[in-house]
Order: sequence, then structure tokens, then C-alpha cells
Amino acid sequence: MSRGLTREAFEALLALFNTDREKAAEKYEQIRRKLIGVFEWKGCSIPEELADEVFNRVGYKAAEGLVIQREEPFAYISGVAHHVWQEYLRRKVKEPIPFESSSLIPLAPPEDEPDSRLDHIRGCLKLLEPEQRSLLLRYYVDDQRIQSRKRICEELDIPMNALRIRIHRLRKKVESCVQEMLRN
Amino acid sequence: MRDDELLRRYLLGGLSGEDEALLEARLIQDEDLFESAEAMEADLLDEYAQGGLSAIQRAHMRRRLASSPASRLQLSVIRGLGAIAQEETPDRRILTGPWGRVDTSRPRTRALAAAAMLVMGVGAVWLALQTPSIPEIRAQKTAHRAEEILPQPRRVPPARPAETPSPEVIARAEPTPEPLPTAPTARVATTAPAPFAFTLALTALRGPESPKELHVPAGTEQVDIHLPLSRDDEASPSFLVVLRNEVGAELIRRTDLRPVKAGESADLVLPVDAKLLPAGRYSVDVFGESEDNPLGFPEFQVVEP
Repeated sequence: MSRGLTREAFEALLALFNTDREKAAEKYEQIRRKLIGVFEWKGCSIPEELADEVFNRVGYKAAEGLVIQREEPFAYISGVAHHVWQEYLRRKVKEPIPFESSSLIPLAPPEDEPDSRLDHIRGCLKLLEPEQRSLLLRYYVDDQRIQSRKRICEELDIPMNALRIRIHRLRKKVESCVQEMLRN
Repeated sequence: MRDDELLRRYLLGGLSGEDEALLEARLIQDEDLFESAEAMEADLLDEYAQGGLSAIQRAHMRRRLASSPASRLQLSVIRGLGAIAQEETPDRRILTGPWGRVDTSRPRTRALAAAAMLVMGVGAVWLALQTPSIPEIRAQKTAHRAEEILPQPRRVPPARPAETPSPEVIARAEPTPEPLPTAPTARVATTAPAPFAFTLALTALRGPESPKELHVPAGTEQVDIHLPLSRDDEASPSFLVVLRNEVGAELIRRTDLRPVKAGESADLVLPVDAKLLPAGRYSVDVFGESEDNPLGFPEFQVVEP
């Protein structure tokens, strides 16, 4: 795509987020994670690459003296992200862009060897507290899920969105653990 | 519009360009909203795994899955959690037998059981009507003795209706004293020579309720899944094909599948041991040479014989 960030441009980028370098670095990671998520939701096969391209452009602009209100760099960043996405789409039409199939999904086991992912999930569920494990499995148990989840919300006295997020956090723990086991 | 509805539409590709850009700016800024979007995505993957969503929405999810290994892992974990949750449900009843494991607490299984009982009930009534009562048997025996003395023209039983109610009915009908004439029945049709060919279109986007059904005939040892290729796709020297079960587990991965010419067109043929296909939902991921080039993800449903 384009050149990488120079030290000067990177420092200018961090300065957009916070005067405290450590806090700025945290913010950088947070925004990068979100950019990757947004590009993935748009169906991009190289989300990390595009996220870094966004930061490259914002960093160079910042090094050239771009002034953005410190509280509001997001609108600018999302605008740049939109342009990067449009360029990606145009490029994709002209030439298929190869993407890494990633190390997240390991090679499949030989045909006569059972897939071990279910066992990994079982093992990773042990990381959760018993009531957390029970809640997570209840969320996925029933064929009549809508009704079943409404019942859980009533029992816990929380709205559906809160339950969804609670489950998401629990499942993320399991997912990270499974991912780690697959890597090993 | 509420945020959760907005996020749902966004994640299913249903927002206009302007609304999408506005939401994305908010997603980058607002940590809570971003987390809600992640949680919503997981719920959509769950709906997808359950066979929900419209055909267009499913196609959108498929494209996402094709380009994102992280989403595929997420889907795999969600399916796995569903499978484990079903296993651990206290009031769940599993019947194990030569047909595999059947969860009798599932509504679909209950409906099938009710249908089977209805068929058996109808069969029993039919059998009762066809079988002579004890006085009739006595009368027949007396008549038979009379026939021995004075031969009579033999009474031909009525022919079986062309549409046999079910194999169960046939099984019950067989022990009757006078075997019915054997018509070309379902019994013959259920024993097919292996391999059994099953064609699955690569391009078809199937609705949530209607993946193509596969009835594996009794006695089949191998099912050949035929995947017709388009002219453009034929150019690839080899193909990557992955068969998955309903929890996303890989059953077969072939990295070197080559097209088989069938007249002017060409098919990919994936041979599958029939034992790997108990009743349930399956998907076939088809790529040209590597995962960089997804060609289609058709699904099918193996139906209990």
C-alpha cells in the first residue's frame, strides 16, 4: 500500500490522542482494534493492513501540522478510513488482493482424526466460574432461544442488550482460550 | 431507530452509505457501542448457525465468514457451545441406536416421532382391515378343507395400492398368511448401489429453512457429492473443499480435488463415507486452490431414512 510510519509521524499521531505517551499508546491500540473490527464487518480480508494505512495517513498529516481537536480525532480518522476503504474496493476490482488465511484457523486434522475444537471448548469452559458457565450454556441451549433468553433477562432483571454483552464477554474468554489451544 | 436495531442492520449490510459512515464514526469513538456491535455480531452468527436470517442476509454473513478467519473461529465456538449446551440439558432425552444419537426433546424430533406414530397407527388399522377375524379364519379353514375335497378357483387378494403407506406398513403386512404380491416397493428403492451421487449447486443461496435434502438410501457405503463448476472456475487446476458438520467441525478437507469432466461441463466430486453423514445439517466450503478464492458454501440436510 504505502510507506510505513516514520518515528516523527508516529509521535505526531500519538500526540493527537493524548499528551501522556502511555495513555496515547493505549488509545492507539484501542482505535486500531476498532478499525480492524469495522473493516472486518465490511467484508475486508486484510483489515489489519487497512487499519495501519489509516494510521499512516493520519500520522503523516499530523506530522505536517494537521490540527485536530484532541477530543475529536475520531471523525477525522473515520473519514480517512472511509477513503482507504473506497480505494481498497477500487483496487480489488482491478486485481484480486491476496490475503493471509491467518494463523487463527489451523490446518485441519487428518481425515481419520476427530476435530478437537469441541474438546478445546469443553476444556476452556472450565476457566469460567460455575454460574458463568451455566449462564453461557443456557444462552445457547434452547431451540426457542428468544423466549429462553427473555426468561434469563427476567431472572437477572437486566435488559437484553446487557445480557448479550455479558454473554459476549464470557464467550470471548472461551474463544481466546480455544484460539490459544489451537495455536499450541 | 434503537442502537441494537441500527447495529443489526449495519452488520447485515442493510444501512445506506451515509448512515453507515455516521455509525462507523460512532463505533470508533464509543467503546460501549463497539462492544454492543461485537455482541450483536455473535448473536447474528448464532442465528446463522441455527439456520435463521433471510437468504440475502445469510449470503452477507457468508461473505464475511469467507474473508474473516476470526469470524469463522467465532462461529465454530458458538456452534460448539450450542452442542455442549444441548448435551447438558437435564430434560434432554437421547436415544442411541443404529441410527446414531437422536435428541427426543427437540421439537423437530418430536414432530417426526408423532408423524411416525400416526403412520404406524394408520398401518395398524389398514392391517386390521386386511387380516381376517378369527371366525373368518375358521370359516376359511373349513372352506380350505372343502377345497381339498373339491378344488375351487383360488381367490386372489386385492392388489396393494400403488402408493404404499410406509415401510413400516409393509413390514407389518408381510406376516399375513397370504403374502401379498410383490410390487416394486420402497424396499427395493432403499437399497441402492454405492456410491450414491448427490449434486449440490455452488452458486445457490439457500433459504434458512430449505437446504437441499439428502436421503441416503439404506446400504449406501459412499456418497459422491457433485459440485458443478462454472466455466470460469474450471480453469483452476485444483480445488480446496471442506465438508463440515452442523457444529462447524471439519469432517473432510481435500486440498487437491480436481474437476471431473461430465460432457461439456465439469464437476468437483467429493467422495464421502456414508457413515460420516448421520442425519443433520452440513456445509461444503469450496475454494479455488486456496482459501484466498472462495467459490461457494452450499449447505445440505441429511434426512433420517
